[in-house]
Amino acid sequence: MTHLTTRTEGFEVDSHDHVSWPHRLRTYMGTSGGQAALMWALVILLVPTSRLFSSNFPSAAMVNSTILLGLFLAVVAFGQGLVILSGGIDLSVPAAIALGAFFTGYLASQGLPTPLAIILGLLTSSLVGLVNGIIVSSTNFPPFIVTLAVGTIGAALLLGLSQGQPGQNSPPELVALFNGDLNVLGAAPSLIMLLAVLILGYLIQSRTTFGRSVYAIGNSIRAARIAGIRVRLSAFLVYWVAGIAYGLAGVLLLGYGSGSDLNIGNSWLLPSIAVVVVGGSSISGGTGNYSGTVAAALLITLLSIDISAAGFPEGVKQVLYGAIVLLALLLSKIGGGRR
Amino acid sequence: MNFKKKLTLVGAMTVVAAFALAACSADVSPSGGADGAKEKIYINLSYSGNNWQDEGANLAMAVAQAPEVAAKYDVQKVISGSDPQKQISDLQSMIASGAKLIVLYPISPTALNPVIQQGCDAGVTFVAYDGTVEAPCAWNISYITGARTENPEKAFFGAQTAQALVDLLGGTGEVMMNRGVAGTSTDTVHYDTAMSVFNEYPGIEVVNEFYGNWDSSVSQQETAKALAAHPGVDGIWSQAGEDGVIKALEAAGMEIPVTGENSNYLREKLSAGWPGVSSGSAPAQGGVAVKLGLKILADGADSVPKDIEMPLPWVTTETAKVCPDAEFVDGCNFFSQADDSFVTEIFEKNVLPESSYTAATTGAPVSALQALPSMDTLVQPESRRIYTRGVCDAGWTPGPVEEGQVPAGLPGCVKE
Amino acid sequence: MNLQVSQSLLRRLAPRAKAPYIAAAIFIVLYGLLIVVSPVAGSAFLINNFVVLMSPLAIAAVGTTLILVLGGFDLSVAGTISLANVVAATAMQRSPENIWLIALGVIAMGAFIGLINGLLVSILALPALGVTLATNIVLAGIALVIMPAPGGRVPVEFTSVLTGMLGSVPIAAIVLLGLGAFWVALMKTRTGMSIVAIGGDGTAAKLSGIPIRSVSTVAYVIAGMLYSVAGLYLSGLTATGSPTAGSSFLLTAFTAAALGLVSFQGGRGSGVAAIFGAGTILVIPKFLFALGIADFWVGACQGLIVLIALTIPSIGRLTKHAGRRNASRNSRGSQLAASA
Repeated sequence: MTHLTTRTEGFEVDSHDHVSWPHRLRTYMGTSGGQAALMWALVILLVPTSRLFSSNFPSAAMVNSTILLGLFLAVVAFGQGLVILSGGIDLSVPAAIALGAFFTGYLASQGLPTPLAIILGLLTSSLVGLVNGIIVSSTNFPPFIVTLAVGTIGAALLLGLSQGQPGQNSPPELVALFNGDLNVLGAAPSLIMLLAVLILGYLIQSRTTFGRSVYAIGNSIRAARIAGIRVRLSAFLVYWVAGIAYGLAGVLLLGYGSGSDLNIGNSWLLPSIAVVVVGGSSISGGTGNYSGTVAAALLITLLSIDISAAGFPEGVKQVLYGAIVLLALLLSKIGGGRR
Repeated sequence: MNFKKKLTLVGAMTVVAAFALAACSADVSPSGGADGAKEKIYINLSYSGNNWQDEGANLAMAVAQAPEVAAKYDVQKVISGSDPQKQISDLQSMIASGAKLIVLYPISPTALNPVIQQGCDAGVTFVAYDGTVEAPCAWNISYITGARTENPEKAFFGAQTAQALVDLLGGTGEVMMNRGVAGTSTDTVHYDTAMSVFNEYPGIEVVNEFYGNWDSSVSQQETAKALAAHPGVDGIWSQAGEDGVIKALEAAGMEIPVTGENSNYLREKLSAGWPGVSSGSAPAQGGVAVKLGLKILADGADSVPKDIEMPLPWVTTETAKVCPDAEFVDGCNFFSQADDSFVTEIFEKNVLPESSYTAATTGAPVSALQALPSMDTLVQPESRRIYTRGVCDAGWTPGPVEEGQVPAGLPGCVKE
Repeated sequence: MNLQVSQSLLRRLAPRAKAPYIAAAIFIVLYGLLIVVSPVAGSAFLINNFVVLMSPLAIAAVGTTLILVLGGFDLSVAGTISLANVVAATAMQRSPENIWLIALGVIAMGAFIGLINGLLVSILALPALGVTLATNIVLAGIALVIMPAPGGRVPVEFTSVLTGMLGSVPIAAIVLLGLGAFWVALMKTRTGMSIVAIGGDGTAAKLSGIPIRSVSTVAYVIAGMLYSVAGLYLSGLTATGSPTAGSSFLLTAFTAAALGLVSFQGGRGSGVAAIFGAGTILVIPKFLFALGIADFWVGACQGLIVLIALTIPSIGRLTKHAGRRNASRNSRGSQLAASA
């Protein structure tokens, strides 16, 4: 039995093959699980640190806002995260959100029971994802342009279909979810929903066959095929599921705002990409952890609350936001994340 | 991908394309029968997809498709989107197709100057509504510098609503400001004039300002964030999107004075006792703009002043009243059947009596056009020209306006 | 040995020489149809209008194409154009006697922005999409700080040159011609060929001794300069500055590249074709408008045409290499599609 000595950060490995903790930490940080943990740590750290931005922070209202607004971002980022995980990117986000919100509101106002209206609204928003999925999985067209074109078509069709009635009211049940009257086990519905989204999303992405096939595709299509994964089907499903997620975000926004118009999805595209990237997923696919994405959603939301509270002019806020994304990319790189 | 699959895909796309082009062409919609004989009117939107734009466009179309107009003109609506170059391109197309009148909502006060000048040189009449253009040959109709009807010295939406908020707060307190879209002149004018009022009161502190983008949903989210940082705020000054501000306040369990624009929800809350004021931009401007354009075509360029200033609507907690039906009668000023973000100011008694709830929501043609009264009461004072045209009239020069306007001392134009 | 390997590498990955011709054909056919439906569109005056209108997008699209060919993504096109427009309008208003010097300064600023992008991507090895997304946000923020609301004034000495005509030839057309010539010349230089090689097969490029990092950085610098030229042209077109002037270019620049049949996987694409792609994007709404098609359908038709354009390379390959796949390029799309 030979001694194994390696140098890691100045510590020598001892003869029992025992890896020292800095080395173990470094290895852990290189995994997406590790980066998710880092994200959660940052979120938790930021809560007391928010005091720097406002003397009224931290507060219950701050936490509530973070959870509520982070919820929407987390749902959108689930869809975008799946697509990026598979090696693509999805620019049809605004159209799908608007379709989900519009049709849910419209159908409910026509007298359909709310659950049915929601399901139909989600199905409509998923049409965008359906078309994306069909095209991307059966051709070699770049997802960037395909989703851009399909999203444009979807938005134009919505504009045409909604002539005269762009604004929609929300069914009362959805509004009740958000207006603070409901209490589930003493916690606000938004917290419950966030936890549900986190658990469900994590399970779907990391624990189902579908989710694992997405990881495989993102890493290497050839290897995935050799492993027997039905690559075309998974690639199609990714975009379709993403379309449902965006529609769900639209439904939630409809309830939160107790109404919506056609532009409701516009401000969520770039943040969805930023959150996925900051959360540790590789932009070229193959690695990522939804827990990290959710943490990043909360982190970015809380940061934006802090920056707003500090009262900077709008241009400075944007510069800070961009710098934060850049910083996150750097940290991810240092942590050993894949490019 | 093998040959057969590619062929199938290409074939499928061609079929889809053929259907699409057929469907697209099937929607060719010249209003009126014979083409080529009638001259053309265009209603050109930039932003779209929200209640305000929709109502404004509907009222414009309703007027432009009135029977006596439809007999002489073909009307078409063109939505350009938020890309200035797209609007430039569309305007060029409209000019090239021989437009006589273009009623537009400009995406930018300045980017369209060259193309508008081109159009004027080609004999096209331009009327811009709500948003203004600096191009000197175009007509502007807007409320941005507008004054209150009962006291025409009290001008500027930003300043007047700020003053109302100060009065509601008794001169002291913390306020927040919900602005519009960053980087637009409309937002800047509202903000600057409001700040000039707030700065007069040492007891008033602006603790936060954010951009709701004139959108209810964004306004609600931004207000929620800001409330978390400033739970002790005493009042909120808002541009459009104030229905979202109210909803955020309700979620936080706060009922504090809010000044905003003309959403149905704000007025509903005002009538239930919420302290505040509803003023601001009226979609009726779209309909009025078309009437202005028609008058210019009929009676010549001198028959209508170049700069029209619409008065500020003004509804308070005391005067908010629900309409029994779909008409503004008995001083009522909001509707029970409209949704929350519906913009209520669709009527304009003197200059747009043809307006109706149906016209605003569907664009259905009005049954008869009534003549435009004299616009002399609605001329924009020269002292405020610089806000909409960027320069002062001949014989006037930039300087603070001390007389005839409240608040005094705002930048403007003064006689040389 | 390096030269030999590079040459065989390049032969394997030779840019599809057909793309500029196909893209040009699409554009010319569409514009021809426009003239058929609306004859006045063939007048010198309106052609000048059109060429001026398409110039900012065309110039930006060439920059976008360069980075796509490199195998990267540059989302900072929007922010750079906004900043260039804002700086130009502000500076030219303050000192109208120095407009050309200011223009040079703006181009230098674009080069600097590209340098930062390039260094972040190639030296720090950060992902291009993420980096340029972040720099885009930062640049847009800086533009807002400099100019919180639209304003500034671009002197007529500047705008008339950019938008005017030399005889009956639009000056903008001469500029675009020069741009096309620039691209062709660039692709013949060592740097240009290296860019193609890196985008086509990064490993092989490295093995054949191409200095990946410096070539990538140079590519981003050139792209940055092109974006700022596009911003200058926009300033000439609109005669003013606006902090959000560039935001629409984010997606249209990539659409122009797609209509120019540029490959999104890297290694293939022609800037000349992208110029025509930009023209195609802008002629479609005009054509549909002349046909009298209702406004909201225009967006749907544009999206459809983009999708159809994507099938064109497939048609090309149908006729050229029926059934045979190209030399393996590690492209995800073709692997996905090959699972038939």
